[in-house]
Amino acid sequence: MAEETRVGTEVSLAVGEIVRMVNTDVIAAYPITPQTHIVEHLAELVADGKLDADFITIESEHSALSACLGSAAVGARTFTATAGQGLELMHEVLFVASAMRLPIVMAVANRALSSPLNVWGDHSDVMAARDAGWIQIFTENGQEVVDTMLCAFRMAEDRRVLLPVMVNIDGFHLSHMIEPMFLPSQKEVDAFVPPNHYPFPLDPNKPVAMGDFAPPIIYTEAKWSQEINIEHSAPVIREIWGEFATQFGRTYRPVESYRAEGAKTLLLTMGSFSETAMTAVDKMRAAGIDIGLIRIRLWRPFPFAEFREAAKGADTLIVLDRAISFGVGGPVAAEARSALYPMEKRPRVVSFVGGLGGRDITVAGFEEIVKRGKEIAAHGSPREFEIFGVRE
Amino acid sequence: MDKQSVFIPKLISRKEPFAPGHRACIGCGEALAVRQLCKELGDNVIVVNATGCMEIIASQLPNTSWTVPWMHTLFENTAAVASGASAGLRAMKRKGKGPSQYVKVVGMGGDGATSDIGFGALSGALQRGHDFLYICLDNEAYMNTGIQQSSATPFGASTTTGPAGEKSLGQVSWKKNLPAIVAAHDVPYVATACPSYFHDMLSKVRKAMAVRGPAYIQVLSVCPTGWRCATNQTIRLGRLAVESGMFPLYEVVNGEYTLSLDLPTLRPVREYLKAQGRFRHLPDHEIDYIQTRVDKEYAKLRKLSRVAKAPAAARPAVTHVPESQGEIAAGLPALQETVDGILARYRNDPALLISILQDIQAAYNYLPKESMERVGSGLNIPLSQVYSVATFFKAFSLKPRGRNLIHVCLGTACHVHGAARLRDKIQRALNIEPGGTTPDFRFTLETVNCVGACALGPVVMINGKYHGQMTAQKVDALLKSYT
Ligand SMILES: Cc1ncc(C[n+]2csc(CCOP(=O)(O)OP(=O)(O)O)c2C)c(N)n1
Ligand code: SF4
Ligand SMILES: [Mg+2]
Repeated sequence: MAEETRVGTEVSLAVGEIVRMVNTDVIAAYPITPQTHIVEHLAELVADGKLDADFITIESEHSALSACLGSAAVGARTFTATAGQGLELMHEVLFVASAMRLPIVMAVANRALSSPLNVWGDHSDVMAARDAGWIQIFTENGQEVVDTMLCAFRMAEDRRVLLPVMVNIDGFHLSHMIEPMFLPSQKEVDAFVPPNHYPFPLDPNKPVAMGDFAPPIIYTEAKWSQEINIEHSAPVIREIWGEFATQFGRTYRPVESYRAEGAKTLLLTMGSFSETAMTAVDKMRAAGIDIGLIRIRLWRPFPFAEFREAAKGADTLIVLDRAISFGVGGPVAAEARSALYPMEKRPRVVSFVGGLGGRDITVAGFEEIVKRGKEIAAHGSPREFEIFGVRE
Repeated sequence: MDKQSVFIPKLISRKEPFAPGHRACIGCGEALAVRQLCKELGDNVIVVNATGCMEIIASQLPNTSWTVPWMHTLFENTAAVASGASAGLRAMKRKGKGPSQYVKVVGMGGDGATSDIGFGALSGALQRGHDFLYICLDNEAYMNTGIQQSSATPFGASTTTGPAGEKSLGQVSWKKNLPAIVAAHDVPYVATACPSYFHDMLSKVRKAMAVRGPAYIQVLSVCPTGWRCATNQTIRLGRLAVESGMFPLYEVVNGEYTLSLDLPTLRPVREYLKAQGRFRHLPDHEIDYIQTRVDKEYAKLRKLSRVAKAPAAARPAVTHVPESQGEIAAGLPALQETVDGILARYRNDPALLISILQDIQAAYNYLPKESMERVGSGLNIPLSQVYSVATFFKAFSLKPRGRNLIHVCLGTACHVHGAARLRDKIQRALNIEPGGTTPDFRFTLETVNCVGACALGPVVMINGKYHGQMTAQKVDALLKSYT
């Protein structure tokens, strides 16, 4: 039976606690709002001798993730965290981490991108990194952050996976919340996360060469094997979530549905806004409005089957994106459309963008989105997508 | 700089951790440098390589030239990756994981990777003080992408992004003084090196490997493709770069500068510049400018520096050079005391046998038989071991030698410039064979396979002094000047 303790703490600090409990070896991180509380807490844990790790006070995010490459490659358990501009500065390195199959865990306190400068939350940063080959998971609340962090080390380091894992935590809206959370005991962590045994470390006793040069004759094969690798990670991710449920009693799935049974109109959200959306759904249901909610938790590898299963039977899927793919629209909406396309009978996708740069969407806001979404579904819109709440 | 050129080729490892079969251009100075460097780095290293020629030519899937653990990730992040690897090894060692032996992380990158795009990462890693060695392979441009200008490209060089033209000289700013910038980080060890002086380069690697903390070596690597020079000029151009003061060799140990090779007079830069297509367009007045600037920079460096003490100067003065067979038969004076003194100076350490024998030879001009017996018992090693070292190296003589020791260099460079004729001429003049000593003990004649001064060839060395560009005509006058 679970021996967890219930604590009330800031979500960022809870991230640090998990990094401590899994006995991380190396942390290389560069400060950026709203990630700072995570790394400051870790630095403190190291300074106080509560975590025996090398904390590298690195000179940039590009170097932070680069240092993680080196650290993971020698077989050390490795963590970093960033946000917004930091994730963009890491961009080039993201692709190397996944292609070289280095099990790095990174928390991203999602933040808007300049310009204009904005330190608050949205998904612009992660959406620009979605093709980088990382396992990417979105979290909704503090408990989910704690649980996902724990699972992330398992997933990354599983011999069948060996991929970097990005845990997305909405900046401020989630990262800075003080919430009650169950924290596992050290014994439970030790039982759930075995020591890291990277199978091909850089070691003079068994030399390997990593990151060679690949001409056209072999590059395609290298990329194909990378694709197979991330596709094959999906069943392992589900298996680890299953084990987690057995040990801790909380269940996580790639796609979650909330009161979606029989609903002809569905709302789709990702991240912490889902909690507000759930409240809005409850309210609308109580008022007799036909609505349900689905949330994508596992963003990469994209859970096609689960997503189609969750969306089938609906006529309308209203997608709320917290990022713009300029000249296109909401990135999640675009992917939802393409995932649904092969279905014989598929819901019509209505795309909204909102909650940019930390602007909140309230319960009433979601009610409005659903109302307008239904109108668009019935009568169309002059635009491919609409921005919720924008002043023109 | 050590005048050990005569034995170093024999001391160098025969192992090739950087295996042949890679795709470097003919005459590539970088590939040569990496090959030599790897011999000294040994097995217990992890090499982190930046994108650039050395990565591309040696790692094409599914092959690799690297037999030590090696990792390439990106162009500008090598020092950061090395930081992470070094920290990872350190943390794991503390926790009883990872390799049990000491492993040195070695970053390697080109001049572009190091002094331009990866400059911030390097500075950060140096300042944080990670235990790693960074080797910058400086061929003075972005060669891998086709000879584009970098901040290490020297003044006046034409590159594809800084081409010489009607209105341009090519590179118009001075080469970035990266070693000085690295030294300003207050790191324990900084050096410049060049594979044309490979014994010097390897001794610097040895010192850098012994540092526990950041160490940096910048290796000038001739690139025939980018410098537009003949592919057989790699070694010569490296020497000219050093001897002209364009790329001086020095070390900065804990902030203290030492010139590795102190040149009382520099060779004209013109000689160096004229041998390369990248400088072909330079008018005379620009060459004069370069000369003035190089002189000034060199003077600045000299002022900063101590001059490396030649090991010979640290040795005892000559104790007694015998002048006849009769004297030897009568027994050499103070032999035991002299040998014991030398042994004590090297703390009777058998690992320093070569240095001990060198000092004895400096004292008597040869290795008297009794001295070797004394060395064997003093170091507590079999006499056979002393003999095997003494006879292995050509520089040691078991026979008494004359007051003046002549070395005629028969290395390839000297050979093609007529060294054999020189040797014959000296043989006739002194009436001795190589290895022989004149009956009056005035001269001993020896031949060697390289004295490490190929650019001066043919070279005759007398008592350690180089006489370059020798001719048979000049021999008589030269011999007369030694009594
Ligand atoms: C971010 C990035 N920018 C540019 C390049 C292209 N690039 C690859 S190697 C190279 C030049 C390397 O020059 P240098 O570091 O001097 O090494 P060399 O090839 O001369 O040995 C360049 C510009 C790259 N790989 N990555
Ligand atoms: S371009 Fe220059 S540095 Fe590169 S492989 Fe060829 S000779 Fe070597
Ligand atoms: Mg270069």
